[in-house]
Amino acid sequence: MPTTEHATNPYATHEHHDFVPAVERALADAPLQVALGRLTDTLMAGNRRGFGSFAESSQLRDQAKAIKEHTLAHLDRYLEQLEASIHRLGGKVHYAADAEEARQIIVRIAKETNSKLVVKSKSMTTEEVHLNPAIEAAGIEVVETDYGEFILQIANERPSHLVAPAVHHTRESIAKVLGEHVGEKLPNDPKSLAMVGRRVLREKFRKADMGITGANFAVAETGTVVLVTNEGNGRLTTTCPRVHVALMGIEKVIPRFTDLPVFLKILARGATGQTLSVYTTVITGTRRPGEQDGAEEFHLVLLDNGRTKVLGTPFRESLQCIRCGACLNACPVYRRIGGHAYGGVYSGPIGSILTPLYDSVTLNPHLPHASSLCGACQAACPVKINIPRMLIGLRELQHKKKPSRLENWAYGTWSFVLRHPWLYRAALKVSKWLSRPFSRDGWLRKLPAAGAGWTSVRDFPAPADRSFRDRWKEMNP
Amino acid sequence: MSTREAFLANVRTAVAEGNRAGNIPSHPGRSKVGYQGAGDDPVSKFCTEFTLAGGFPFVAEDDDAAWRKIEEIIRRHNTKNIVIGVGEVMDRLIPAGRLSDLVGTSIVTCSDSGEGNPNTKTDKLINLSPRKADKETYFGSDLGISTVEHLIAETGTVVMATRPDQPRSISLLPPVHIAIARRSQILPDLFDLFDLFSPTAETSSPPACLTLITGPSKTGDIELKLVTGVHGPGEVHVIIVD
Repeated sequence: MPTTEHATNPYATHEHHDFVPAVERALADAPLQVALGRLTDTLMAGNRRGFGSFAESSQLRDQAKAIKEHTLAHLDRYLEQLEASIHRLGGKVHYAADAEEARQIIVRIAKETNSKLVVKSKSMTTEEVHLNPAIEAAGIEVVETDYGEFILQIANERPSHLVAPAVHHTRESIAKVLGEHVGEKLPNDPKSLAMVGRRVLREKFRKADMGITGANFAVAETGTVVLVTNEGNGRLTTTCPRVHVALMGIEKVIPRFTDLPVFLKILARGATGQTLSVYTTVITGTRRPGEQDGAEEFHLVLLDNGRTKVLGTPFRESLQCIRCGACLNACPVYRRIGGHAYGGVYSGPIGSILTPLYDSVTLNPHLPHASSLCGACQAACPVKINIPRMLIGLRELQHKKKPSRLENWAYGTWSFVLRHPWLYRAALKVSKWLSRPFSRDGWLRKLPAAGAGWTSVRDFPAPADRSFRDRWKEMNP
Repeated sequence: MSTREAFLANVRTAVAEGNRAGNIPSHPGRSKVGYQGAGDDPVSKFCTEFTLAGGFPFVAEDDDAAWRKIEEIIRRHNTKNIVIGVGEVMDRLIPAGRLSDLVGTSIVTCSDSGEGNPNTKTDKLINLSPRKADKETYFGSDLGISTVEHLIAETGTVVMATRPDQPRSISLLPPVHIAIARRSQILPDLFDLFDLFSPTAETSSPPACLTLITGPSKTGDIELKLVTGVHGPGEVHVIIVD
């Protein structure tokens, strides 16, 4: 039963370091395979259409990348400018060096503003710092309002995709989880299920004291925070409650107000193929005198949590990510294993870089290898992040941290053989002869001894009956 | 060292460390790259894009046609509670008494003083007293009628800017939103909007909230089936007048 399967999947509820068993579980989950295929095919088609139908999209993506490169090379300066702009507007800026500090700051703001009910719009950064348990521990109710995130909150699960967090759910499993939450038996059709969500969440918005959001961008020049949503919950979260808190990684700052359209034009196209997401909310300070709605108090929490550790290294490029999810949709590995298998908050190719860097290279040994290095991620990325380069960089880092004598010996031998053509020819003949008992239809599916490590997870092409060199000689006598 | 100082010192060190590799790019500045514009006919470009996004554009040949369209939408939804924004074009299209003639409809103005739209005065005649809108009014409303700041032809986008008489709720809380725009408010490209609101020596800051609305509220969270109206309005109309 898919419904119970999702409810009991341990990898859906907790971050973990069990990559291999999680992958096996995902591959065996038939409904998940259907959902992943549907999602990634649809969004990738959107990505190709979005960029393909847009003249100069490639040059615009280069420009966005250049703005990010420039900003990261002057990040200290732009953060100080952002702070000054927000102070000028009457907002407050807080600095959180790690997840614990971020939680403390936000819980303190909630208490100081006497907030009893907090609504949240979708934010991966708040997932990253595990914010909700800390707010609940302080006796304050917190409600996710993105529809997918809301379902995950009441199912006690975590997101499995950057922009489609509940992709692992079916309409049946949503009807069950939501039905239990509201104490009614619900029909399975998406429209009714969505409207039940609207009804429940409207009541929360009506009563909420504080709204917590992430930030897609923040403009140093003006102190502007930008939220992009399709549902409108980002608007509600910043319009109805009297306090607005935005939690943002330091890399999300951009210099100028006129930089925004450069990114807005590529963000939705990269994510879904839309020209723009339905709602782009551009917030500059609190409500002005005479205005009837909007937050009266604004706090921006700037989060480091490992980012400065990356900023000074060749992995700096990973901080250009605008969290659109395109690399997930493009990745042949993500498309089969889904988000929960990766173990960290961020999944897919970009997660395979961020999780080892922020969490631990040693504890996540498989992630840099969960890629065929085909480059589809880089081709789909709106800011053209060279993800394959960094995955290889992480593999190097792993090797430096824990050199393997077997690997050194193997590559040493390989290099020696390649430099001696007669030896290469001999080795080819021997390997053909040795592998014959294990080969079928041109593939080696099960090798003994040291080879078993390879064939337990992938096939190896068997040496051809006649080598390329022999055939070349025949054709060119 | 305070948290702030330590935090920024960390950033400074990391920036310097990373920059040592050299090749520090300058800001590329504003360029024409990616400017798509709207071609010869911005109105038709807007209508095409807005329709693709799931919205309902209507180009009115005159004010009367615009009013008939508004009336039709109100009647079709069997609307009871309307919140209405303030503006010159609003007074022109919906003169005194027109809305309140729709029997059983209560109208609430977004004007700060409870005045500013003639409807609020005539409502008393049919015993639907005009009120200044409060939070509960917006939560209880069925339909919002607003003016707009701009339309963007390239993307099919309605742009709202906050003002005392044009709150965010009017285009957010009712399930149906009617936006009234004038032809002259159409901008060809998204770049044009941000150029207009970019701070200059004269204007220090953009409005408290600029909202770009491109179609009805959407979610695909349930098996990727498109559902509209999950949070914001499920139906968005733009009526374009001269």
